[in-house]
Amino acid sequence: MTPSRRNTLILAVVSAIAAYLFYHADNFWGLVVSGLVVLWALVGALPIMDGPWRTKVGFVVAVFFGSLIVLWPTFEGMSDGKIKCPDYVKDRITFGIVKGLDLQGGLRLVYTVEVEEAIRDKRDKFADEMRHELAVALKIKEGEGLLKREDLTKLEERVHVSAPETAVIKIKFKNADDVKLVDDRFKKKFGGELSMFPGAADEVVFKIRQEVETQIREKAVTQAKETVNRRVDELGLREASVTTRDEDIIIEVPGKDERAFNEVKEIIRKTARLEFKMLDDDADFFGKIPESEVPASENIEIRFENAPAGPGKSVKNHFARIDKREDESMNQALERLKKWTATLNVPDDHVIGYEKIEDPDEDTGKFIEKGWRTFYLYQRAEVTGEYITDAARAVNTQSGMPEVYVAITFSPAGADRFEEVTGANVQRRFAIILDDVINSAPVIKSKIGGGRASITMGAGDPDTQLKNAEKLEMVLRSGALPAPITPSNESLIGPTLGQDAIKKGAIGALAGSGLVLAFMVFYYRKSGLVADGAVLFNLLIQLAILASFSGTLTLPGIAGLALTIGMAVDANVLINERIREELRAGRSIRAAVEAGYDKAFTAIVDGHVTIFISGLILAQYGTGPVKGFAVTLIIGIIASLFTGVFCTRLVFDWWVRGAKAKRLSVGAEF
Amino acid sequence: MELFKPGKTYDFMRVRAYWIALSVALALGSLILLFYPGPNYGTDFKGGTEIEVAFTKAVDGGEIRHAVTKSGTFSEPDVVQVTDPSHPWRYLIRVQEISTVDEASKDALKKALCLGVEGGDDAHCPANARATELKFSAGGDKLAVRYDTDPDLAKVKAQLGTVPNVKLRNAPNNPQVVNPRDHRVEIQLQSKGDQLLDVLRQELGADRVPESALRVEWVGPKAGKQLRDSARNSVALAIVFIMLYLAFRFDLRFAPGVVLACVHDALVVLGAFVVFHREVTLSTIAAVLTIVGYSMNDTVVVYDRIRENLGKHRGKSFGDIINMSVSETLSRTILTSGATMLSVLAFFIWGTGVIKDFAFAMVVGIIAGTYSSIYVAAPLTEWIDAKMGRRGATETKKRLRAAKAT
Repeated sequence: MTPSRRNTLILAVVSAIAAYLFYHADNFWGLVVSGLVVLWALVGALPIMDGPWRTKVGFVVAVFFGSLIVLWPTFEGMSDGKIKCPDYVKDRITFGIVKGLDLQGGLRLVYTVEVEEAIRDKRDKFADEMRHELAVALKIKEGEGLLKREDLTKLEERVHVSAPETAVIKIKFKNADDVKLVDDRFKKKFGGELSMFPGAADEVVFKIRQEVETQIREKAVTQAKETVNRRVDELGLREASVTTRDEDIIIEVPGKDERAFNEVKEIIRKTARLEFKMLDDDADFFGKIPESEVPASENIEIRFENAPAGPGKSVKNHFARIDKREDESMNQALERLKKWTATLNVPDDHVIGYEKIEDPDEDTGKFIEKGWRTFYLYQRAEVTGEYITDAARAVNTQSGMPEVYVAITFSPAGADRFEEVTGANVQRRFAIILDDVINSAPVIKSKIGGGRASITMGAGDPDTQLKNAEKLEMVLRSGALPAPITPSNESLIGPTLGQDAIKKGAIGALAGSGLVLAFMVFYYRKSGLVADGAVLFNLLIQLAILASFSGTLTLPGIAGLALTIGMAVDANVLINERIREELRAGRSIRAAVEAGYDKAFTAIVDGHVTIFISGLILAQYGTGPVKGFAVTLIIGIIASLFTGVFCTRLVFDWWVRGAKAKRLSVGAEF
Repeated sequence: MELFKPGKTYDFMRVRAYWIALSVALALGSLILLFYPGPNYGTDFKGGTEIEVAFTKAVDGGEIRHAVTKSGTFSEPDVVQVTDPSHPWRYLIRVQEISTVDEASKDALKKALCLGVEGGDDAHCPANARATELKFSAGGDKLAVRYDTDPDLAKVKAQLGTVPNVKLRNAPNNPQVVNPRDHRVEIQLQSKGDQLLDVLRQELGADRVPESALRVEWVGPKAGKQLRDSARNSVALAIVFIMLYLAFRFDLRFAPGVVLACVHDALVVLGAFVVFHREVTLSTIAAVLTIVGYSMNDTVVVYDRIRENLGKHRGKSFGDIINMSVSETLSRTILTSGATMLSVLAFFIWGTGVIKDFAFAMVVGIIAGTYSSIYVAAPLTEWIDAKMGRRGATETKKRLRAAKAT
């Protein structure tokens, strides 16, 4: 026994022991990898050919069996259980090829865009601009820039701008003479989008014009569609389809997996509306509510805290809190609290915000959701998610317990605004509101420049925190929905191609590939058989890689497969033709194979690289089905080089050197 | 077995003038066809009418598709089964056709519904039946009307009765208040959806088709501008990078040929789609991308031989080198195209609908891709070579002059 053979056998034994240990530790992939290494080592120890050849063959064998294992559960699904896959494997391989909407169908979700919300947003923007105009006219403020807190208070003494209805803005002056402030210039500025209605002597009413409203509605729906599209793309569901219908968005997700559907629904529905609003702690709204009006029977009580109110000052501030009952969910508790706060007389330029109360458990140190508390906020959002350019999750390990948060970056305009707002409100609190729930209400210590902020993920076990952070990052990056969407319908749908068309397509595919394979054997004889083996191996590898990231197989995807299989055939045609040429030129078999591979190689590489480049670019910049096509193309190209050149070469080498063939079977006599 | 006698050189370049003329004609013709009359975009790009029908008796998707296509009034539909325990034969049927309301009828409708009428008290336009906003759905089968107050639906219905050429769909709750908060009323008109139901009734028998569809709706396109733009931009970018790669691997003379050949093939395929009235869908984009890939590979193989022969035969003209190289790779070209064509033909013969269209694109594309390597890419390279005055330029000129003289 040569030393190298002894070494490979030792490797086989060591890997076998490792495989057993992995099996014991229930580490499935460790088991698979070490099992494959055993195979590799065993092939390497066979008493044929030379060492390098055996090493290569061993590698090919390992790849072959690895692909088979990866595809095992998929095969079971596709053959309707005719190929059995043990539960042990099925439970551990959680991925597999999903047939696309066109081949299998999936889930059809219909969401309605609540366009009213978008209109209200626009209305608030107009109201803000009007406040600014009026402040300038009343000489409270000069020129551009945000209205400061005290500016607003001063403005409030003269005029009250409110939004009593969805599309209506009411300007009510304290002094009827001031109505003239709404002069021609003012009317001209807003007249394009708002129409003016006569009201009482001291007020002016504006309403968003119908056509503008229609525009806002349409824009909201298109934007919502684009956002949903981006999210679907980020989820890796490139084969899902997103369409609109009036004020509805229809999303069709391929597959059958209930768990995957739930994840999709959760991500899509997240409005991801991020708002920064200032707290009005000076008003002490809840402190003014008589105790008799607080329903203790609903577990609601009023508490107080000391809140900062500008540099060096602090005020006593009251808030309401509700304790979650044993048998209810957090959302139910919030509903109860909201039911009560709805009875309160909140001024229309203020809103009540809600934050979760989480207390650490004394024994375990884990945080437990206790209930909700209120904050009294200005209605106007100082900065919104519109200004976000990027979001990334991160972990802060400085303060003992690791704290997960999502760092957000604002655009330059947003950064300026954020700096201005925080600068004007030092030593006050502001609320970071995500989808109408307060994420946190920190105190502004000093002006925050640089356009960065972070959203904490609350307290929970690190895994959940990290998962939530991942979701938040995804939705923030894909942009907020311009308005919330509500699910209105969902149903399971069959394949869009139709069962009959799929059946015929399958016959076509089988007949087509059968013809090609038969032709290769007919034309190149044994060499054709080798090429056919390479093509089938190529298909196997492609499917395995596709399965490993739960790829979707659609008609365009199959087109990508077909092209790369064509490429694999082509590589072998090129090689075989070259070998024939060399044989014709009178070379020995061995030299002809050598030269055939060498000379064909440049053409093969150039062809493959060209297509690889286009695949990369299409995958990077394409969307939807274009991307799907590109991904299969890239996988296929790499697999084609491996099977068409590397693997077939091994067979030829064995022929000319191992089997010492006198004649090469390439379909022509020399 | 051998397809061509080895060692024989065919003079491809002798007749190139005709073929180049044909290529230019085909590519230009396709380009014109793409604008006029323009491709027949499928529902993927254009949207269309979608109806959801719960059939009362067993029917399968193939039957429905066949029935709709047979009628001749509709395009090939998408038929999708919807799982629903209470309606076992529930289907979504999508066709390209959409109903339209012409401008005259639109104006008549606006007038009849008293859009923008203010003040006064009119028998036709009482205060509770004056529309403040009227929106026509993109599908032309629905009107969304807004009122300032709670509208009198019976009056609205009577108002609609006065408009010629527009019929209200027979359905309960039509018109219907869909949003009481802002008094939004939806009015459904007779549409393509109803026509589609009629066709189904006629072809499948009235006992299987219900009185009315569960829903009739206009649907927007799946692939919006965004997808089309991103597809176009990424292809353009890919072309730039491929040119750079080829310029680096071969030399500058070769790069434009590959690109022109690809563009030529893509154009010809799209042109063929227009000529044969086939629907351009998302699968067509995939087919065109496939063809571009195929064409690139094919051209590169020929180029590789040209490069090799340029090194081997220093004295020969570029035209001769092309002839030699194309001849040497001819059996490979025919074999590969033949093999690919075999598999695609099977799809073309046995496939239906989208698959058949896809296979059609591939058949045209493979022919174009094979041919363009020889008569688009190679001659362009020769021409650039002559212009750049590099190797073999003088010979080429001489040959050209000789050709002119005879």
